[in-house]
Amino acid sequence: MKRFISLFMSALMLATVLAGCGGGNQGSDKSENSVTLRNTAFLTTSDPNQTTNTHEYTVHENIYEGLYDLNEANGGYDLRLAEEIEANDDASEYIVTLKQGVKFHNGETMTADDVVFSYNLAQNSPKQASYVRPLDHVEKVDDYTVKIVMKESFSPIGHMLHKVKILSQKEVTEQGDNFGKIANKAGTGPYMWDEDNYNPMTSWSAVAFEDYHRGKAAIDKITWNVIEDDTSAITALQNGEVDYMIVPISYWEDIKSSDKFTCIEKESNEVMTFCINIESPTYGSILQNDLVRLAIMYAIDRDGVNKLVCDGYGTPTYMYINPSYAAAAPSADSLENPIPFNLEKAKQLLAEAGYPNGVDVGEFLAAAGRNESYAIAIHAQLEAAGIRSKLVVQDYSVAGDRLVAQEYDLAMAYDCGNYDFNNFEQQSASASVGIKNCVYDGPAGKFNDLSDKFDEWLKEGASTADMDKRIAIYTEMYNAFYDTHTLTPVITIPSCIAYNKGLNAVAVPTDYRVYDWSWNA
Amino acid sequence: MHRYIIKRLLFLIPTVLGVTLIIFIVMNITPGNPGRMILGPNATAAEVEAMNEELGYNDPVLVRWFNYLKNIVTKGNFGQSYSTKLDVFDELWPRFLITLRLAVLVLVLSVCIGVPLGILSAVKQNSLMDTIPTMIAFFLAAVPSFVVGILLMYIFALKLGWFPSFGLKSAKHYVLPVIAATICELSAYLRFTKSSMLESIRQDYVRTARAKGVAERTVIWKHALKNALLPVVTSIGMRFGCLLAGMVTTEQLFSIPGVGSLIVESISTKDEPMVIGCAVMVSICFTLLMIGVDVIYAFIDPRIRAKYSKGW
Repeated sequence: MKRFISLFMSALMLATVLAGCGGGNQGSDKSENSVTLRNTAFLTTSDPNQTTNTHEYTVHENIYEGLYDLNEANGGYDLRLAEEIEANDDASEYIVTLKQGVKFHNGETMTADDVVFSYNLAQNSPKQASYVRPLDHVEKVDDYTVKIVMKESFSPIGHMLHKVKILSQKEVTEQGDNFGKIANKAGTGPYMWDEDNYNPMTSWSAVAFEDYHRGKAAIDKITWNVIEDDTSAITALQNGEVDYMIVPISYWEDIKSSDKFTCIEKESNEVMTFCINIESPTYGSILQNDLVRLAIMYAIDRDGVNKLVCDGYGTPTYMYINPSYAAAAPSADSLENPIPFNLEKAKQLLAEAGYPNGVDVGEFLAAAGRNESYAIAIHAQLEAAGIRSKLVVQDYSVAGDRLVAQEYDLAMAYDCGNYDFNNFEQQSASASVGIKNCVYDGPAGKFNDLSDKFDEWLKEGASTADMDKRIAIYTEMYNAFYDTHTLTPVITIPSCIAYNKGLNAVAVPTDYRVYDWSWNA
Repeated sequence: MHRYIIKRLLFLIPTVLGVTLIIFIVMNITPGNPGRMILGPNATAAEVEAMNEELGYNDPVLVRWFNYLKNIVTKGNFGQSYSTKLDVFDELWPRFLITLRLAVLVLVLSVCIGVPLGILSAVKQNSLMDTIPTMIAFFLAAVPSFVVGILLMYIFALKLGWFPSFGLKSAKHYVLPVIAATICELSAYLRFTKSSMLESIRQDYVRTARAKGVAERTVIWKHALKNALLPVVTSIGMRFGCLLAGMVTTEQLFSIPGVGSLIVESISTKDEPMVIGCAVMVSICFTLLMIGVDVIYAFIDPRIRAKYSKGW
């Protein structure tokens, strides 16, 4: 009897625990016309103004809209919530005519008041600072017209108009402090948060918005699942639990050869960049030596890095910003003095610099994960040339902070230039705030004159809408910048995308738009 | 007995104080900048500094520790996560429940399989019934849980398609992570039970029972096992406590939003309130578990019960 009771109690305990394990289904249900996607991390916010994380942008892009929309598939921007945008002669003011009849997810109609309100929100958010920095203010002209006033002439306005999402003033105000912490109906996008399934730590859904101003989406529902581990994500893809995914390079051959997916390979908009800190308090004096930096440039073997880290799928590059994704970017053949890999030349230059037996150049900083792999490859290439450094790999939060604080000697970083070459001001303008990998107007004074010139070029490039003129200005600047041999592009990261063969998806490196997708009939 | 439990519960206070102080000191030593984390890479140095000042991050570590405890005691407030801006407790509690559920399943399974196998192994020492489970236990103990997890995922999720590979949406989702964690746990219980049982079997009172002609079954179940279970119960309590914070590998591999993965994420993003919240939660649970183990002792061993009843 005792044994029976103990067995019964054990079974009851197990059953109780399992019963508490909830219900649900796995993967997407084509009969429900939905797609299931991987998200690499949990959502920290549902407020588009409070994030700088790519994994959150990709979700938000399907829910919120700006006056412009980034067209990552074909390049450039499309008018979205704006009907028309007209600049004054010196591109310091823009008159924006809004689309009429646009509804927010809460049923309210979008007006100029919402636009002014949204721009104020963005200006008050430090996470939007780099996008709204040139903006002075936005004012209402009438219910469907606003005036955007810049601090000075500024023509590459597209990305700001895309990045600042227009939110329902009523919804944001009503949610108050909870805005961003819970699901909301403040967007105008083709999908709206599914309030019945909003678990930002694990899984959340968005459902097609019936009153969407461009017509209801073909796919009714998107479900995102947090799958941090790549192995687990690949298994989920192969298992049919995920319908579309950017595949880590190490799994790409397997996925392609399985013949189960539509596989797309394309250059991404992300460029891996190698940085030298000429202002380093420890090794700055060595790194200010032109011959040492030139030797470093010759020691970098881009093809080798590509084979080692990207299995040959990357694109060795000298471009800071991939011209396929950015307006006014210099073309690939416009660099006058590209430095190819030449190990002997590197050693010779090092000897000429007074270091025939090699030189120690301090710490080589990299964020753990993707940057780390590139850093390991380049670290080994530099060692082969006699340029010795200590590889330091730290969490992204720490490594990023050290980059901002210029606490490194060498570093591996990446930049995502998705819109206009003017984005390069983040790396070159003296007034740039945040992650600026190299400082050119620092106390060492090495490139102070050039730094002033960078500011001039940027100002000049931003003050004209003439694309040819802008490209000419930026090309001159690009050549001068490259010749400092401080910050050098290495590889354009490949974007390998696989998706269900029944899905008509539009593969893009980052901000996919499920609105443009459909299932085969 | 009551006095003993109250005494042990009071012991929670210095435990939590100690744990929070250690975490504060460790977080203070490690590099990172919460202001930058909250405001993002585009914020100016002045904005970051102002945020750090507002958070009290620039105060001496002991002052911050004291303020943290004051907030818990006076407002019941464990602080706000730097990354999600949510109350630490609100974010931590659901994840803790997920881990707790997993840990209970793993515990039940590993005890139900590991302990009987351990007993069998000891009773049938040097026979095949001993050699085979012992060898399997050694093998399983040597294989890391992530390898087991990947293998299970490959076979049962990818090749056979029987179970999903990530998340915890239904009972089916629990199968692979629970098995992966159980396999490593049960080998520990098997080995521990076996050694404890062997020690017990060799005691004089067991020999006496056998000499008196008591049936072997009774000798094993009534005399040897009862005494052998005492260290096993301690081990169950300890290992269960470790499971609550130590299922990181399984949680990461199967994308389970448990407390282990939360600790790792929070440490890597220097989300100090969350790290401390997790540590406090785990230390409270661990202490409570140990009190529970002591109470179970009293039920198993009449000598201890008698000692308790005399008062401590």
